[in-house]
Amino acid sequence: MAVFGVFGRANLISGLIVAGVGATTILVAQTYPLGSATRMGPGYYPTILGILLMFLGTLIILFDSRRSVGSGLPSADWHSLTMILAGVGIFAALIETAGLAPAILACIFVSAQADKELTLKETSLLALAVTLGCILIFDFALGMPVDVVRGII
Amino acid sequence: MDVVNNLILGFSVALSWTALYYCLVGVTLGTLVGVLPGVGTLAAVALLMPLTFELEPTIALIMLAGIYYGAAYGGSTASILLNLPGTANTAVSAFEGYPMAKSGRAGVALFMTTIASFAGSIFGLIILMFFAPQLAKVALKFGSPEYFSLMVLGLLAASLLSAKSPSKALSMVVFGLLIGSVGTDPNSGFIRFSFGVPSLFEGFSLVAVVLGLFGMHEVISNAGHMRSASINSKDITLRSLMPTRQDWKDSFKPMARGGGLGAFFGALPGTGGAVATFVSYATERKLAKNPERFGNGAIEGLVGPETSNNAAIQTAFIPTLTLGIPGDVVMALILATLIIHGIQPGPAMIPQNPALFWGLAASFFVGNIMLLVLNIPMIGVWVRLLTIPYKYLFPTIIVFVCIGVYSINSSTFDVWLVAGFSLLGYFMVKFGFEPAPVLLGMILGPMLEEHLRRSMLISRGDPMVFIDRPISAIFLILTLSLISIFAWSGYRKRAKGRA
Repeated sequence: MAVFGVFGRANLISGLIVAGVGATTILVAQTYPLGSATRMGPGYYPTILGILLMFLGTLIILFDSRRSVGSGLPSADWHSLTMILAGVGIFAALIETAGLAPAILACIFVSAQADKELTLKETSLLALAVTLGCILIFDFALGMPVDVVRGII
Repeated sequence: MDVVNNLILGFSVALSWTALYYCLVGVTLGTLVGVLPGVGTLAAVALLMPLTFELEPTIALIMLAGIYYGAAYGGSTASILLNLPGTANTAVSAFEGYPMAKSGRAGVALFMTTIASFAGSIFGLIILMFFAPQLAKVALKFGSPEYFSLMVLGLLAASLLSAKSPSKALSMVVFGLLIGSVGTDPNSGFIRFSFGVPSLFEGFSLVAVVLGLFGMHEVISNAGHMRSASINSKDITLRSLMPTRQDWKDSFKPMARGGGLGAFFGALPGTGGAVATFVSYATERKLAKNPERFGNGAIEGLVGPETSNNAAIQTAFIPTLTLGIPGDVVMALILATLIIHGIQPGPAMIPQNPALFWGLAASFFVGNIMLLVLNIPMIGVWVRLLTIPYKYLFPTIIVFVCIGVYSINSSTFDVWLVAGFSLLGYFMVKFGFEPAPVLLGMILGPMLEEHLRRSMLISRGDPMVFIDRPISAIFLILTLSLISIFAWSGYRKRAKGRA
């Protein structure tokens, strides 16, 4: 680390990840038939891509890490990120087990937490409106093959 | 006359009731996503793409293209009234448009940008109709080696020209190519990188990747931060829209220059509307008699870039439809739509499907006229929509993304993919990696591999085939010079930084 200093750390990590993905690609591709340059097997092209990624990863480590611009470990908005991803996740978990309406309601209530200005009343009204709208559009108009509430409708 | 026959064919397609209906849906939705800040054109096209699988390919393209150019009209509305660009390409419109709005000339600014958008579109459209068939004739002689080299050039140009770090941009291209190789290999039937997950046998769902990397990324970074501004929609009356005679006089030449610049940059891969608008703005500022007016609501600096943006959008269809090389991510989705409909994009497409190309071109004309109506008499509706707070919009967008992705294959795995790619995209951007090249790589990847394989088969495994064939060699020389320019400028910047 001392070689690159604190500034290059984000770029060092980026470069290592890119090179790591490249190395993994090469390793996995070796389990596929490689073929020859004339008749390439399914492993040939991914191997080339893996080598390119390792090369580019090295370039990022060597050159980008010394630049002070745009480096330094970035900060993330963990709150919004978690809530929104959780909203998507809960939709995926509920759509087939509980049905369309519970999935939408849960998705809105969870993802709405990303914005602290939304009050409970606003969120409830929004959830109700969006759920009704989506049932009308996707279930009635487009005939999506999914239960609105599983086992009931 | 060839042209007349083609135009008659085109309008017979574009003026059918179905085409008119989907064109109207496209441009209206386009204006809507353009007006609303924080709702991306790309996400809108990706969400509607699955709905078009049932339609005829021409109709599908008419609607998706309508969203693309419709958003350019709507995007300037947010730029002018809120100083918040609705799309990246309309960021420049805020430079002069917002000061005009502050000094009570919002109506004139909105009116003139609509006129400029219309003029630019029609100019770009004429260039498209004239040059695309010519270029296709040249490209018909291309074989696999030429295509391979051209795709390499296209991918590099598209990623390098907008990149902060060349090595990061290129690694994103290769990463995209890698994602594109997931699933069944068409040559051997061998399944690659699926790790035993049946949902991956057909490869990653394109829509899930797009919505994760772009759509959700936008939502995550805006949620909780974007606050709505207050505008008084009653101020925008029809009377206030009317420009003075001086406004018309000041706007004519910048519009002509902007149209030319836009048409040129739009046809190049990787530059497109955003670059064209900045060049046009800089040009107008340089040519102005009293440049100090710029920044305080100079109409030249508004209409020039606006014309060039819309001209660029039309000419961006030239490389996409004739060569199969998309210049930007929305074009890449349009290309993917063609492929899904079983149409191989490339020079043979126009002669084989004249109704598709000319029908689409004619629909651009029809769509732009619809946009004139949507944006001048109905401007008040859009202005009112601007006042919807983002806090109500973003949970709605998330639900639409989830349902949209789920409905394509009735697959919860694809919804999880959206979450995964949102997380990936969020940190990629934080670490200075652009997501756009990933998408281009993913869509072009399978074609690139196919052309590589065929070329090597022709040459019996000799890679010199790419240099021995002159057209392919030219593309590769261009690619090399592009890389060296970027490597050199990067080196110079570093040297300066140390000094």
